Amino acid sequence: MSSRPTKPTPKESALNTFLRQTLAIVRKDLRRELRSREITLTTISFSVLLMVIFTFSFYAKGRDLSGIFPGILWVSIIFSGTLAVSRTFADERESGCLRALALIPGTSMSLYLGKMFINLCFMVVFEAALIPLLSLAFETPVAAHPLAFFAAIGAGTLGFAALGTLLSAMLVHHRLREVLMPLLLYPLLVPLLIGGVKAVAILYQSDNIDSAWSWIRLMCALDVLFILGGQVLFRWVLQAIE
Amino acid sequence: MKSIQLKQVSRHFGKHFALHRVTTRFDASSITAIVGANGAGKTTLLNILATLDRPSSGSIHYDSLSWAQFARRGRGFIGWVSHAPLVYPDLTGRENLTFYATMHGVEADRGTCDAWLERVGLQLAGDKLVQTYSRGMVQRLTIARALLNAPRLLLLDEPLTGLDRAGRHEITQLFGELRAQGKIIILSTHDLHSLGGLCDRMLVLRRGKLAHEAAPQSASDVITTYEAHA
Repeated sequence: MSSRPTKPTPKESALNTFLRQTLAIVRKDLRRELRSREITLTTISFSVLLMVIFTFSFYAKGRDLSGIFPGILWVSIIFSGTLAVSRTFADERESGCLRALALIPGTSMSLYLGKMFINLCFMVVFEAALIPLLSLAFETPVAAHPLAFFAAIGAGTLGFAALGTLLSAMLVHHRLREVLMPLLLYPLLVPLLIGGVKAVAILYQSDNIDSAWSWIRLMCALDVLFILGGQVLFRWVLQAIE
Repeated sequence: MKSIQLKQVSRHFGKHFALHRVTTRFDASSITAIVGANGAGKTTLLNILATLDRPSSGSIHYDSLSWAQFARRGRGFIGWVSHAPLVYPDLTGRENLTFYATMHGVEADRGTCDAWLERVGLQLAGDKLVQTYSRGMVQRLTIARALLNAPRLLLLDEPLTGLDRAGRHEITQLFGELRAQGKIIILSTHDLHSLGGLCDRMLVLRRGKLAHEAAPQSASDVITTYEAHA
């Protein structure tokens, strides 16, 4: 048999290369997660645990919890999300695959967006469990404006995934990565978190929907900044960690 | 790619020189073995040639491309086997090959992956998770992964590690075929017996310096040269 069984594919555009590589990364990570359920089970268990602790700490029959609900919601999302994003490149680090990927032309953009999308998926999965449970426990039904509510959650989650993916790559070979991850991530997330807490609080405590949307727009602008900045910086980060 | 030329290439980490003024060339259709004791600079040299590590001084040209130009444009022509397996343990062998083939933009159908699995003797283990593979099976898969993109330059750090006698024979035969196709093959190894009849040239590194170059004819030539210069 020939030592050259590989058939090269015809030349393709840069966009097609990017989409092909991004989809390959997403498919590979989803397959591995479906097999191990490592991140989904960990983040769901942790968010349920947080919910139980918060419920026992703050719940009292007849007490209006709508004032503290936004803060508790975002703290639960951020803490559980940190578990997900800090594992982003763990398998690449352990198997050395990051160097093999670095040798494939054009991977920096697709690797960043693919990993960010995967983190987004993991976060959406645990949020799908967390939000209904938290609403039920705090007797705080999803806000009167569900579209704005989910837009705020979505914008916060996207920004978190964008920044978390970048920082996870930056810290991939650092001995203290688990400690440094929250120390670096949380301060950078502060503007996004303030926007998220404000938007959700407005939706629960007043009918000023326009004010909520202006916070959501700010969050979307931060998302764009985080994703574009992440794309640019990720190339340098990948070169540095090769 | 016809040749790689190194002139006075050095790499230092702080005050420690991992490579010191190495001047040599590697030609197409040849297998060059880099040998030397631990810490002699073999892996550093391979990493620099793979554009994963930047030389501190000196120049490297891949045909007419400088090191920096090749790092930007030529990485797709490199096939690389390192100490680490570079495959995902919780995917099957076939899934690993399909993933890397898709990333490289080569045909990633079942037939292509089957052909590579068969070529490295893993046809019966293709659907098993890599974490269940023996060290030798992982090494075979690693070699298949490095060859997926039909590279013109093959950089192999200890490629025969973990392989049994039959595996060594199959893989060295494969390297011979790749040499006949005009590829530049550079490998580092401590397994001197396997180099007899395989490599065309042998570079002996000692404490980062190129101590000797030879064209050994047999395994005993390799061992004699190594013992005299390493």
